[in-house]
Amino acid sequence: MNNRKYLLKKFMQAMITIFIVLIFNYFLFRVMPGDPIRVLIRNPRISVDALAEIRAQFGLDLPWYTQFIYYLKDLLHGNLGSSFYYREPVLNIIMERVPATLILVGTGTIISIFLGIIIGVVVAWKRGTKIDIIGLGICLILYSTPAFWFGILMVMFFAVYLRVFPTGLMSLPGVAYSSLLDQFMTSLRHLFLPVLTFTLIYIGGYAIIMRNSVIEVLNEDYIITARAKGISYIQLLKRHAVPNALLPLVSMVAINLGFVIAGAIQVETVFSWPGLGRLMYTALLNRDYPLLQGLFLFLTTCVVGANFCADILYSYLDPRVKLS
Amino acid sequence: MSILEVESLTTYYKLRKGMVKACENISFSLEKGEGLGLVGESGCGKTTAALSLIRLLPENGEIMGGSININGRDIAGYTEEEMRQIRMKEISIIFQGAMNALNPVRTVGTQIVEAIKVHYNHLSDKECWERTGDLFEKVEIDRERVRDYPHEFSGGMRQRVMIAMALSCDPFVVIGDEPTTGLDVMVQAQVLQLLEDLRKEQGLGLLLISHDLACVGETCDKIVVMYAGHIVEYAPTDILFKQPLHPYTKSLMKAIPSIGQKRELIPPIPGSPPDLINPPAGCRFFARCPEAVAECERKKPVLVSVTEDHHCACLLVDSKVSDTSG
Repeated sequence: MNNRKYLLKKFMQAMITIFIVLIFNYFLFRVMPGDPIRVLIRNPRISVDALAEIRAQFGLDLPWYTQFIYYLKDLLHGNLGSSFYYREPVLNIIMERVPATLILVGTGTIISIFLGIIIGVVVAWKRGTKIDIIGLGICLILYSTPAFWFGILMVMFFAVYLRVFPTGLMSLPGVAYSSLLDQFMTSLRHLFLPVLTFTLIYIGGYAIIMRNSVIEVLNEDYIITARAKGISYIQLLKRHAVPNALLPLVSMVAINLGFVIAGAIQVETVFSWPGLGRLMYTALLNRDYPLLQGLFLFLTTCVVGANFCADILYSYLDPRVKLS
Repeated sequence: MSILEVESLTTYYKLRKGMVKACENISFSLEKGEGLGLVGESGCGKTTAALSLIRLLPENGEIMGGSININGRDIAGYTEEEMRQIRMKEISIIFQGAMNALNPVRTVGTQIVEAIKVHYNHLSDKECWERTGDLFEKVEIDRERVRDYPHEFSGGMRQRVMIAMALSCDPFVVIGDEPTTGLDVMVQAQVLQLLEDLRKEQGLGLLLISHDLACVGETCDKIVVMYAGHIVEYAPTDILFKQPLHPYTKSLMKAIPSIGQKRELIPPIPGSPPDLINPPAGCRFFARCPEAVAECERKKPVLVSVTEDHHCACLLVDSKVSDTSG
């Protein structure tokens, strides 16, 4: 009962957040300079009558609150409008690009979290030694490297100098594969560099957070209690230090998702990866407002959704949460 | 033979500024079923002494000399691996449970079972939980509550859980490091009573560390009074209360309020303890001592026997002893 109440509360909070972002998002595009009709028509010599007609056709002659109500109504029907550039429903375009980003961001995030945790625990365990200093130094460098620059270095080294991996794209255009395995291997080769770049960019941040978290936990009183039981250091890490240190990481991963997607824009652009990040970049170049607005809303929902999931997960991992 | 015999234990902490001489020349012994109180103000080295005994000092703490005999074996030089075998099994410690001494995200039962598993690996899971339930009953908690989390207990109950944990592997010696600090007076009395009962029932050696002379006096057979890293007086409880010899002990006695007394503020001991990185050459209590003479500033007092069980480290007492004997 208590649990359901907590869930409901968190869900309501998420919905309210999305709604506020939605309002903000909607008006952000209305106050931006430039007339959407001008972008849409691309004909500077159009007659005033025709312009007014198109304006009426799109409902742009209506007062702003009516327009907003229409927007909300369409949104509830899953209609995010249609793109100026692609002349297709925004939702379809976004959905088409989701798998590519999911593969890149998903694989990269899982690997970087996994390795970040391991590196964090090891350097925390060996804190003050050379391993700690070198490990922490590398993590800080990776953490502060811009994704696009790192991506370019990767392309230069692996694709231009060593010539072992392709410079970009998800697969070779216009190629027929001899077998499914062959196709799979080609995909893996294309996936390698973007995922490597993505992983290395985020590994440092996760490792540093994990290191600090472990060190903090190791100073807690219950660690001495555990040592007083006579358990070994490995057991101490495994049962007390690491599980407790993972708690802050759960919420950090969720909060970070927004930044992760921003990183995906850079990585996808460098590697011509046909995902959401690159879609956003091209939409920006084309001043494709409906598409951008749709993308913003979509990503907001993802971030809020991830935070909601983290809250739920947290309540299972930390029994104290439900009470507060 | 004593189950615990500590002989001139000296523990220092390394700091960048120098060595903190937290604990010097500490000697005492503990018999089976006996309660020994270790009292002194904050920073006098009582917790350092306790952590030295179970070898859980912070990384910068080091035992510089002396011996710690448990059942006749000196553990002062034991490796971490050897220590792990005897922690909880022979010597265990009760921390202040009101704070964060229990892992907040695991049930109290799991945390006790964990200790039992280390030392009794032949027991099955079911037997370990069974044993934990028995321990809970022993410390007067409903055995069903083993599945609860630490935050679901009150401060006094958490302290009982800590006691149950400390007893889980039948140790000979139990150290209570301020086990009642932070609890209200009623609960404090209950916890102390429980400790006393368990000690007598199971023949434990209990080393009770506290800053509260009154509460130690009620439960312990012998008392060690520490000041600034040294033992200043060591005597059976009744003798110490009847005839305190060291000026510091006398001041502590004055600080115990009694119900019959007129309501007034207890006179504090003026000043504060000395810097233990560069301790004074003579008596460490000199600066605050109401009875000090000029000689106290230069000459270091040693712990001498006044009577067979009564020991005191004070030049004034020492000279009286030599006067009567000479």
